Amino acid sequence: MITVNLVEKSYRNGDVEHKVLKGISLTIETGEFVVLLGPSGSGKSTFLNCISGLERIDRGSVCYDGTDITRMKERELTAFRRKKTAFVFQAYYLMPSLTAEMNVRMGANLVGKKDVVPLLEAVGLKGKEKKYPSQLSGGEQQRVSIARAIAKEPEVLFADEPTGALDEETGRNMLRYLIALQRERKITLVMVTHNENIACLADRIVRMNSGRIISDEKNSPKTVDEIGW
Amino acid sequence: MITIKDLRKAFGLSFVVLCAVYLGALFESFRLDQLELDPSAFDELAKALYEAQLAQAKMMNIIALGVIGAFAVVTLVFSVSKYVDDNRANMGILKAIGYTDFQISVKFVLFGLNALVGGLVGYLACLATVPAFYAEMNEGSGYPAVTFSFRLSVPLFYVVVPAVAFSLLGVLFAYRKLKRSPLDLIRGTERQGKTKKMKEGKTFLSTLRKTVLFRHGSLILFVGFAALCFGGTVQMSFSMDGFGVSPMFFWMMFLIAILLGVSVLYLAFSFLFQANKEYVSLLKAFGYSDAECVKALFGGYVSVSVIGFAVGTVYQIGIIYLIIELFKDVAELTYTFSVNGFFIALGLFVFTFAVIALYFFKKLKLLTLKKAW
Repeated sequence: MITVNLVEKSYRNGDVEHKVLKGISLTIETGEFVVLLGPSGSGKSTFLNCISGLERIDRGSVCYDGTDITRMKERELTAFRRKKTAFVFQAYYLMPSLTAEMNVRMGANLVGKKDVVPLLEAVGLKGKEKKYPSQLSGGEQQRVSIARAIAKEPEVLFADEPTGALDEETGRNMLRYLIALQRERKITLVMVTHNENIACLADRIVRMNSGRIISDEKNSPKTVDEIGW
Repeated sequence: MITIKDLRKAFGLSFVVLCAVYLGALFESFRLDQLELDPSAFDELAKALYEAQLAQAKMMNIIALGVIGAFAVVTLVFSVSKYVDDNRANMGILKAIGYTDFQISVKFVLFGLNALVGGLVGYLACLATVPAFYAEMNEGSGYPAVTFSFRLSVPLFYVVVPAVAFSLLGVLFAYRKLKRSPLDLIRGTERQGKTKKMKEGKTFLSTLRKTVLFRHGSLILFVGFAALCFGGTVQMSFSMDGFGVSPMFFWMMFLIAILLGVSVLYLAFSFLFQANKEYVSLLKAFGYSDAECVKALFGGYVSVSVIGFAVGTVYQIGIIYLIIELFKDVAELTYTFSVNGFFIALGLFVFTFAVIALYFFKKLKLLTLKKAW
């Protein structure tokens, strides 16, 4: 369980301090699929980075099963990320000089997993193991990044606008893979999106605006085929 | 577009040119002044020393212009390439709104300023050391003292010509680098078929280490050259100490090699760090430790350094035998391998490598995905 309590975060631009998160509190259950929904600039990506341990917060606490990660030293935080979390980003963030297989191995290596081909097969990339990111389409690259995230067997998967750079068909396929893997492996999935339709896929929808949570509702998840785009 | 601040970042180029010009101008001035003398009136021994010193000056010129000069060209290409890569989005936008490749690349003429500054400082340093250097060379020569005369041809050839040549080369190489579509430059996509292929290793980290190493082929040359400076020239200053060379020669060689080696290694690692920031930040986000990231980044260069140092050791032995050959009619020089010199040079190189890697290790700790991508 992730317990977020009164988290605040500001950025300084010259003399001007810009408060991005204004005292956010939230609890996410293990195995839950939560969507953070909001317009650009609402603070959802910053919030995702803060609760995943990628960024330090100014005030408040973020606890994983009772352990406050905000009090951890850098080395402990690295070990925490290594063990618990994985990420899927809008811009994929694949290493261009490594093949699809080796990109996935980056995640697998952390848990001592040798064979990553089944993971690539699971995301529909059989036969493309030796391709470089530049030789793959956007959707295929995003699937590599999903396989890379899943390869490290995370307890929590953070996805920041994972369909943001994809067309509708590719985006839908990508979400099918992602949600199927989340359900099958009972991973906690926290996804950021500004798309109301995609939000309908989650167990819970947390709406954000101007650095605050404006609503937090349980949802009866729809399937990818049921939603509009 | 290119500012003086940008040129400051290419200080490595100025420094390499400085070393080449300093050594080249010093020995060339001496050689030209020596040629003013008439050796026919000298006795046999003085004549032999005269010939040997002429040959030595020629050899030092070859090293200065050939080895260090060629390396200065590599540094220029590297600096221009780095500048284009760092500013590719801006250049892509300029191309997109209608600027031609030539209009953009002509600004790179300013890189000649780096060579001009390095050349000027090198030449001034040469003038400053001329009295001590000439006194050293004249001591016990057995023929009339060589006196310094100012010749315009020396600063022209060693300062002005390289500055002009480097300006033109800068423009030419930038022009070549900009031969990509505006969109490719803006997005930062590699040229078709230009993606550097992965080098397979036993584990993910060893694959990454090898890939990083071969992704930046020119850096192998840089790190190898830095190791060669220590293994070759630093070691040579100790080896030649056995010939009874003056402290001035010892320190001249020692300091030039150390400064050249340190600055080239720093330059190479700084580029390596900049070029792989994205990789490292991603590794960190996924939970790889800072130590694992440093190993992936710099680890591949350990073997390059070992090879560079070994080549440097052999190179300095070769040069010493060449000097013995040059002076065989004048003095009986015997060479014994300096074990102390070997270990001091090795120790200094390992220390330099470790300190620079540690500096980037500290920088790496502050790296986040947000800052890097």
